Amino acid sequence: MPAGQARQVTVLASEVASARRLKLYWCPNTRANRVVWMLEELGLDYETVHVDVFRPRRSDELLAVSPMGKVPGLEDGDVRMCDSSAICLYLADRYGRGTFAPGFDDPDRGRFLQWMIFAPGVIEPAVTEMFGGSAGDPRTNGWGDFGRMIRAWEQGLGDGPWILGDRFTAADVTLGATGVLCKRFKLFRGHPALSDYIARCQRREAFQRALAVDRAGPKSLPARAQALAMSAAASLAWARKPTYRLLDWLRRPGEKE
Amino acid sequence: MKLYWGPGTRAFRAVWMLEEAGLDYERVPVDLSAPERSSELLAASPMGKVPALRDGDVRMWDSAAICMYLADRYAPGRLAPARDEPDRGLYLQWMFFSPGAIEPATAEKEAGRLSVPRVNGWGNFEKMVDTWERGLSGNDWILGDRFTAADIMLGSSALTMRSEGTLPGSTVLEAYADRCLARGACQRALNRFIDR
Ligand SMILES: N[C@@H](CCC(=O)N[C@@H](CS)C(=O)NCC(=O)O)C(=O)O
Ligand SMILES: N[C@@H](CCC(=O)N[C@@H](CS)C(=O)NCC(=O)O)C(=O)O
Repeated sequence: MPAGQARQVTVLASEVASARRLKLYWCPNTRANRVVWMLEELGLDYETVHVDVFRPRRSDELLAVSPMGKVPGLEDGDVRMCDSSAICLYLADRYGRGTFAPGFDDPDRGRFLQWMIFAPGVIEPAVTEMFGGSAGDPRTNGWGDFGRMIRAWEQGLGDGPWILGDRFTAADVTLGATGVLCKRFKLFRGHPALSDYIARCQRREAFQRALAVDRAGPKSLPARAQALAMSAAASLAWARKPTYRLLDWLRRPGEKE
Repeated sequence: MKLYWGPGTRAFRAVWMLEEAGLDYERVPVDLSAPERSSELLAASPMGKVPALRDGDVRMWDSAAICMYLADRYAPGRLAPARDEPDRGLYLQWMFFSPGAIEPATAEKEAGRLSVPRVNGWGNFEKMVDTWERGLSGNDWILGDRFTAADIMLGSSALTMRSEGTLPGSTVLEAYADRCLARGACQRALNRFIDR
């Protein structure tokens, strides 16, 4: 990060740290990791509240920020919200304006927002649909289909190194974190530009710090069992359906006890 | 400002947004049944989808992104809470709900695919609807008394689902769709929408 950027982020971060403390509802090996990465990029001070999403119980505290009982969820003063993409956008606009998010009147703003929607609105549904084995109509589906998604992503990246060119933003956090999973599921075969992009993301210091946070986190027995099942599903296509059914079944007991 | 548009599409959301913001714009009809797309459209919309927008040097696609962009840029504090308002977080959360939850959950249900609610970002159809209804929790709009661009996204999802018969028997969501329809800007968008 250029020195100027670093300085601006530090100033904004200290403004926050004195006023309040960010609270992140988090669980290792989940989408909460995107937000940890974002927080690390921004150099913000935050507290993690562990939620074992691999078990059925959810606290009222979590349900107040995340109605589906999912992680991540965020508390920042009076702000209570969920959804990893929305949280990354919120944090980048609020604490990394001009660096991790183009300002509202910056000509890059439009493309930035378009790519912020891409992970949850295009990549995730396109991949899920492909894994589910039934593709809908790519013209009516907002995400097109897997092939159109990959082409748009690759083309958008161009020569990179980041999705907006030279500038690393929150959109690279959400795309990069989703891409790490795509890579694990070997979806980038024949798309070296995308694999290289993900490798670049993984080399960032903040990404590494976020990984360390996950590794140091508590892991219950069900969490370990499911992580194992997920990695089997990642490498063996035939293991996917049984794994998904197992996860579905484990989920059954209800969100709250 | 140029809006790439097609009748009966998600471009309606952008038209409604432009009408709420009171902006001047030119509509560029795109023939979606044609096999090819113009390079002009493709420069803004890599999948050749509508809506897409051109505003000065800005070229972008996606209805949610376009609504967020327009609200922050041309109606800040009105159609979008300002960056440091406490409502900003929830506003953004709901801006992602149509593309990230409503649409994939509905498609999954319609296709009869196995759903894995704990892995799917959108949960499943029932959870999505429940979250949406509870989000409204007796209020007129998703942020309470205040109408924002998030209601344009959610409201147009409700209207589309109603016309496609996928809106579940929900009095809360039906009433919400009616409230949206009662807005002048929504009516103007609908009229422009069919006249072509
Ligand atoms: N759209 C949400 C999805 C979050 C999500 O699905 N989280 C999963 C873990 S990656 C979860 O908490 N699952 C547990 C559950 O649904 O009970 C986001 O991006 O934050
Ligand atoms: N996520 C996009 C989806 C846009 C979309 O799927 N548009 C459809 C019409 S509603 C389209 O242009 N289809 C034509 C095609 O895919 O070729 C958005 O919300 O704007």
